[in-house]
Amino acid sequence: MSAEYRAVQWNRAKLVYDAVLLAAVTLFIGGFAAIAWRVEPPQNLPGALDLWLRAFGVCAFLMLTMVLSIGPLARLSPRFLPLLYNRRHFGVLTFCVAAIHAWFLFDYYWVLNDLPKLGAQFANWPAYAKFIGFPFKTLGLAALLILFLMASTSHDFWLNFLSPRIWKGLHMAVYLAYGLVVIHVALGIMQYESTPLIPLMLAGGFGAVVTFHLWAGWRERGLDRGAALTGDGWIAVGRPREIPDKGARITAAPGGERIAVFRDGNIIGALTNLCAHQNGPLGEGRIVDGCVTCPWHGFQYRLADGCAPPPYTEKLATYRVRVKRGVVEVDPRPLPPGTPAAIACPSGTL
Amino acid sequence: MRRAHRLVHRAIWPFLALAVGLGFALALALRTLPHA
Repeated sequence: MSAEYRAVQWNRAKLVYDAVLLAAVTLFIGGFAAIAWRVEPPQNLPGALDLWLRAFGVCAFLMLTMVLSIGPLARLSPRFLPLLYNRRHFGVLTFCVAAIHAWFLFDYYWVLNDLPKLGAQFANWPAYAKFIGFPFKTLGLAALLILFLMASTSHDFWLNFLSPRIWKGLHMAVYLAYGLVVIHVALGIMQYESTPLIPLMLAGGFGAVVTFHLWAGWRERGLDRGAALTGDGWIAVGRPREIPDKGARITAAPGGERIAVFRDGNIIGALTNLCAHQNGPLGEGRIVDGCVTCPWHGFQYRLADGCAPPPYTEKLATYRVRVKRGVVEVDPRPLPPGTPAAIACPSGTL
Repeated sequence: MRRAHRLVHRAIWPFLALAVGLGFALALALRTLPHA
């Protein structure tokens, strides 16, 4: 969308989002440390470092759980869309908190003058053949490296450089990172602490993320089969009035790819449901200032031809539409991106 | 989301749930806590 490189395109919404995020993280870590200090005051510096290490570790796990929940929650209910808007910053902050957790680990062994012992734990090769006793810090380090990869490519520069398809594929490694973190905690602190809070946190967090993803996936299965075709291979969408004004109805071509059919007054047009930016669900957006607006990050496209308004250059595939016997129908075969295809409803059909 | 990504998600999550769930359950069942 941007015609030139800018590090972060700040706006009020992003500033508020980040401020709330930072405040929440600060409150959580401060609160955790205050409670832990009261329950079991550390007796020395290593004890204090261990306390901060746990505070940042728990915070990082909870943040990663929330980041991974935003996607499916936004699919299940539009009220979660505001969380998705600046999810990148959430992800980058998660990496920062996890990195500080790792730093405290390093600091702990540094203060004890025992860094070789830390190194030995990573190089304890026989331990890699065990389950209980597996070098759990290695799992944590692997997860941290994946999060670093995510954080360092969380910019539209990388999205364009790698292409959306490769970038998205790369960022799916965050699921592997999450699994590694769960086992890192399960084979680490959970082996030494009897408190039920740790297994509850792991089971609750992981269980919630899995449930949200499976639930959102289940809800979308039906549409993947594709909508039924009319006799001449078109898809019946509904009467023009059934398409919300300034909104869309989403249907699916036989292969499962979604098509968003919008209505702007008496103009009907159909575009691919995938935003050119990050494949956001265009059909869940609205027409604003005459342009279809993606609900994820606000990218815009003209309904008439699927082109982004100047000076932007993105183009989307369009689809032929017609109104036959008072019903809007769409041809599921996509036209080349930028092809004008919107029509005016015949009089008397609205 | 592209259909291909949806299919990958649907394949990944049951597998991840099973693998990590099993790992967590085993870690919980097999742990021997140090004496207080």
